[in-house]
Amino acid sequence: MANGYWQKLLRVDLSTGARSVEPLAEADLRSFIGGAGLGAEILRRELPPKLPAFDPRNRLIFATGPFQGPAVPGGAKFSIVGISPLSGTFADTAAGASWGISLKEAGYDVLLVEGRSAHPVYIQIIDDRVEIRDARHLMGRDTVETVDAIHGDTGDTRLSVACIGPAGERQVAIACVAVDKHSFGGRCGLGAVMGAKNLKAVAVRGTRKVPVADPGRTQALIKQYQKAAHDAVLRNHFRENGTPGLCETAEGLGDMPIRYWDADVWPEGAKRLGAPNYTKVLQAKPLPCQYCPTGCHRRIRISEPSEYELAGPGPEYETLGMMGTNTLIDDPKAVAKANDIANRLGIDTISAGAMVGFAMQCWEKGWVTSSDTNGLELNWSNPAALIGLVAQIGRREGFGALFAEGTLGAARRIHPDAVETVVHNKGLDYPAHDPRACLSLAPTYVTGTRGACHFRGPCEDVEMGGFFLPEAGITQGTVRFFERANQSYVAVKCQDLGALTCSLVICMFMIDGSEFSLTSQAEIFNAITGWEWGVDKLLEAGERAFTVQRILNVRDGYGAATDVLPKKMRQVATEGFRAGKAIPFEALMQDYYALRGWDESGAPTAATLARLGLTA
Amino acid sequence: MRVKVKLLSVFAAHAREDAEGLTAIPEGATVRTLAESLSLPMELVRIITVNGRQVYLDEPLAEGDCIYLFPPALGGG
Repeated sequence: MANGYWQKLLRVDLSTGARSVEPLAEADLRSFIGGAGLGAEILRRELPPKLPAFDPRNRLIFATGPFQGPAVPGGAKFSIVGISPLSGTFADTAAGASWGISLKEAGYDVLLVEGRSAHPVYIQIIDDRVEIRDARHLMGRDTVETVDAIHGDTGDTRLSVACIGPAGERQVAIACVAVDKHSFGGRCGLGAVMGAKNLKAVAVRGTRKVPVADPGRTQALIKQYQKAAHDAVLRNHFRENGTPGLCETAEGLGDMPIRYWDADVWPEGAKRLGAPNYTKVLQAKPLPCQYCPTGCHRRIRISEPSEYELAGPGPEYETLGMMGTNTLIDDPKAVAKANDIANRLGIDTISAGAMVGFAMQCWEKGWVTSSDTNGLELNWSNPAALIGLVAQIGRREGFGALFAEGTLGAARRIHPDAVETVVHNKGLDYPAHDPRACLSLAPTYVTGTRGACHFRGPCEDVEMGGFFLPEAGITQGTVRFFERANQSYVAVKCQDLGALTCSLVICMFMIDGSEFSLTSQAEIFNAITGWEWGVDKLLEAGERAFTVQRILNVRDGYGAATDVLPKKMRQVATEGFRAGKAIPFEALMQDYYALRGWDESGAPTAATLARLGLTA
Repeated sequence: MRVKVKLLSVFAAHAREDAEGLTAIPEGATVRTLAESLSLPMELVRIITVNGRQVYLDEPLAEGDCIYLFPPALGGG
């Protein structure tokens, strides 16, 4: 047996109730590692092209990798893979807390769910005992109540629970998967796919430890890197401030979305929303996942005003951008409240914020009026609009129900001119990083295999100085703001890193923020697997994973014709750091396709596939 | 000479401005000597602009320059 793996896939067919354990071939693990890479390859083998996301044949693949066995720093992650209701093609989303580790401890690398149950159920896995349990009593419960109810039903509070809220049950296309109340597989709407399968939750724990190749070396490296990462995040203030520490830098460099991407500067708003003000106003403390030396998540407490009262996970930078500056709301308490509602109902806070900003734009243009919204005033800077509309979207009710198929779907219903104002790729709303500021994000977003994503290619942090990849030749000065040179190279390498990270599976904030380098990760990988891979081979596995995902995109109808920028990204700023600067998009894409080895249609060439050991 | 220095986020506590919001620096100063004189954590001083243009640590400074020192963007999620 391969070290670091059980080589076991647990398949559950919700249509028939059948459960089976299948072997995972070592050759596949050596090609795709695990997580989102392995998940993509399983989709490619098992699904026909252009399968609707809510078709019972769609798979939900909960996949771990070699880092979920021992206590690797940042290894409390897992990937969820399937066809997205937003894009109609490959999607992966990653979450943390304890779930991935628990699945591994139960003796499996992968849980694959297919079919559709006749009534709501949840899956409970405790080692070899796999049960499909009635979940009718859980319907309508939010993502916090669901965890408590499952713990109460079973009397087993050690179960790690990945669940959906009301939004997933109602198949809202931005529904997320919530894990242990504080970590979220947020993007791409795979929570809606759970809902379509009538799967309310998966609860898991186990008692096994997967064997590793060199236990002594593995433990020594873990101890060494836990300490090094912890020291790093104290030094660079990441533990103190979490991702909210990014706001002022991002705004100052023209990276933060303002007024649904139409405005260029708002330093006061970013300062009020971001840390250190965030930390003080929201009484924020680090909230780590299992085995995490960093603790980027925030635990917050608001005691007044009473309508914002809450205690729980606080908004991340992305949410502060999309629900805050994007809507011209600068009150961190209001954003925290909307974030909490989104978390409990189970929707992606990035897309939810994008939807509210888009709706406010439509209101301003007169495309939406109070007769459409039953009196809810969707003017900019209005916290009641943010909080009210987020709740409606999550509950699929009122004006918010218009967004059930995504921002693009809503735009088509609102006004013919609204469609081209949507800022998306593959139907996935842009996150809170602007490619007009960080040019390498332009090719990253348009070719993103799950749609526009900064986290499957974190090149914005290369440009903004926070993270480099020296093993791939990316250091300070490799790219300069607004200059074409090396931008597409950075995009390619960061995307490969993103796919690798989601295959291992490890938190991106280990390398980006916690100084846990790829070379160090390779050391631990080799101690666990015994495979003695260099960094180049790991990055090649990332490229292979990315390419398989691209093959899925291509067969689902995406390619050069859809590798395009949304109209707003052609708008040139009139003030601020990026004033007068335009994205040299065609040139960047020319560079990008050449580096990738793709043909003019956007498909990987035969030579590229052969180099990576893939077939079309 | 005097320059305008904008220190964001965790750098803000290092500000040393006069009543007019300007910072006095010696002739021949560079971004590096300015950052050192403000006791900034040098390993975090990576993204710098002077008068809206990206520069590096050894950029010479002139009277009236507007310098932004950004803490690096970590954990872009």
